[in-house]
Amino acid sequence: MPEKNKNVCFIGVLLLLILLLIIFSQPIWAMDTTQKIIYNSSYSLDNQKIDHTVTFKIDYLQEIINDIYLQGDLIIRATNKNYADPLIMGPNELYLNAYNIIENLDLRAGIIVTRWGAADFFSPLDNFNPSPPNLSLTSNTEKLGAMGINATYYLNDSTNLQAVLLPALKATPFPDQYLKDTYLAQYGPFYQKQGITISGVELSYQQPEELIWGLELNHTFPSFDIGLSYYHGYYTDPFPVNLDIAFNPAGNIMDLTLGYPAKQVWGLEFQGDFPGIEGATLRGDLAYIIPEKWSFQGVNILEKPYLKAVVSADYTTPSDIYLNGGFIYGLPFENQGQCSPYLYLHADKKLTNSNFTPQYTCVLSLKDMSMGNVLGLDYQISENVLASFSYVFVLGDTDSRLGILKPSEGFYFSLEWLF
Amino acid sequence: MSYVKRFSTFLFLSLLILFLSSSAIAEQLTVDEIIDKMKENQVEYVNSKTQAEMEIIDKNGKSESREMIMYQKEEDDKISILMRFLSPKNVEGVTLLSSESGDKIYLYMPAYQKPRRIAGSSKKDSFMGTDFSYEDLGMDYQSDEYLKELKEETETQFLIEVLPVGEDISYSKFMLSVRKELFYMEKVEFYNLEGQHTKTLEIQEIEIDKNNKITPVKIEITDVENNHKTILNIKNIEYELSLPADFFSLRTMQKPKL
Repeated sequence: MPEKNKNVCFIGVLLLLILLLIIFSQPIWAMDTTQKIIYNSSYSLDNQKIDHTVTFKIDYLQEIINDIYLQGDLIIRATNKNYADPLIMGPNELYLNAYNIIENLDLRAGIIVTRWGAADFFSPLDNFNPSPPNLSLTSNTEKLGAMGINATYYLNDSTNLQAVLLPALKATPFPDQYLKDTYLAQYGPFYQKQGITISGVELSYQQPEELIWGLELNHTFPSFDIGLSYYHGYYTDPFPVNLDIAFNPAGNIMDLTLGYPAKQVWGLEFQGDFPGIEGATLRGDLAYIIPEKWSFQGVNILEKPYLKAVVSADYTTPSDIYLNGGFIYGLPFENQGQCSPYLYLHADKKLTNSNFTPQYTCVLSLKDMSMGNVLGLDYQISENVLASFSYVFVLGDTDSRLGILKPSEGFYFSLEWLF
Repeated sequence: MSYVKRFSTFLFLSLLILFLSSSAIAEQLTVDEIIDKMKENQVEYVNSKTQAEMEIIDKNGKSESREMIMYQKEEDDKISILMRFLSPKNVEGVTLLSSESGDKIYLYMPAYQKPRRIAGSSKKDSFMGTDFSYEDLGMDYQSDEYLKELKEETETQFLIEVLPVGEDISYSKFMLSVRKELFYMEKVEFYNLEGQHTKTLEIQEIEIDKNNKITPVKIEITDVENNHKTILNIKNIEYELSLPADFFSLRTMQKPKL
């Protein structure tokens, strides 16, 4: 979209936000609502560009009849970021939430988010809903809602069985242009060496057809909780299926078909007392992933079952520093043989009698010692207004494990107002 | 000696004996009897629902108000608590479940969409920026499991030392100040495992119902080290509610409305 049009769109959204603000400030709505306006800006050291994003989010809740609720949200987002829709409007979640619909059975149906796994970051058990298409260390990644049903049956006070069914895969919404540019950068030089110049990429998708479902059995013990799960579905990121070159006098086109391999995930999650470390809570997710065999251009991309794991502990020191650290085997973008070990740490401390909270987050690859770091500072301006500033930097080469974060290097600012 | 004079002397002596004997009775109260009298003056209930306003004040006097609702149940000497913040928006919906007197603690944050277990050994951590720790919320200083000793008796107060022997908590001692006149706990001083006085809880206002039962309506807890305090103004308390057997559960804490 041309820059001028983006600016017009941006102003239009701002006007719309002001209008919605006026509407929602009137006490005529029967439902409970919470509104949030978030302004994000970032300065990328990679391309020396400033991005702006404004998000208006309304969460709503209405009790239709006793213990049956309509819940959801509406998100309006405007941005001038590359590879992002300049304007997004719609619900991320919209569902009926019914308690005790049959004795001991709770149900959620509609556009829902189901979170599995005890780990705070990068849980390999959390497979039903994709994350937005960027790996972020600066914010808790929001999950994208998917149409489905989530039923939880309580066998007793300590044990429940959860079943989830999605009629269709909700894939990670990578913008087509991003994928085209990525694949062109990946394969263009290969064909160029053969004297074939690629001038464009056409994408098509093979959509999965089977239902996605999962079961999780949770039990609470006196000092820890445990969950056993099974997921039957697909990878949410696209994999290449087929690549053809359409030779045209006007320019050669790379026709690329993308698909989503099936996978099964057997999982174990736990959280509770950390044996031997007073005051620490241990959380962990272990996943045994059985992928569909997937090959592209004669190379097996997915073939054998593999493991992913996140084991972490959080602890507050006597001086009120909150620490959350752990071990990761396999980040979200790594599969099968690519999986490698990492350490991560998050530390923050709300300064005594102050509204400032400095924080630090890092991920360290144990394979090549590359490291992603975030230095941040939150400032609680008032009860409902929070400002955050952070600086992201990466130690390591572009082709290192965490080199994928290199384009994220820069400064980030956000202002969040709840009302 | 005239009859009137003899009668006056008799009356005086009788009153003196009565006075001395009543003082002697008061002085003879054991710590268990004091605790029993305190319990007698408290409302007896299986469960309760409290609506309150919480004010958090830092050392510069800057304050932050929160509204909360709290359900409490006592069963087999174990206290269960389900507590939710209703306002302001930045904490709305944050819910704490503490069961088995704080042995099992969960925190539910709407944005996270899943209850998070807090290790039993993290009970000493501050609860959502207040001066209450997780374990403070589920503690019963009158519990029979604690060792108690009457340390001092002033004109207006009994001072009782409470030692949580054998209890897995992060305090070594509590000093309870019990108001003699009404037999209710006016103040509790908390001492950490190093023996330092770290917190003070004061009941600043009470209500006495028609059955002479006492309910605290204004409670202040002060972090002595940081001069930070939290004041709880109780707006309403209901007793003996008809709650489902599984009310104090992970299931309930995730409900949009309690």
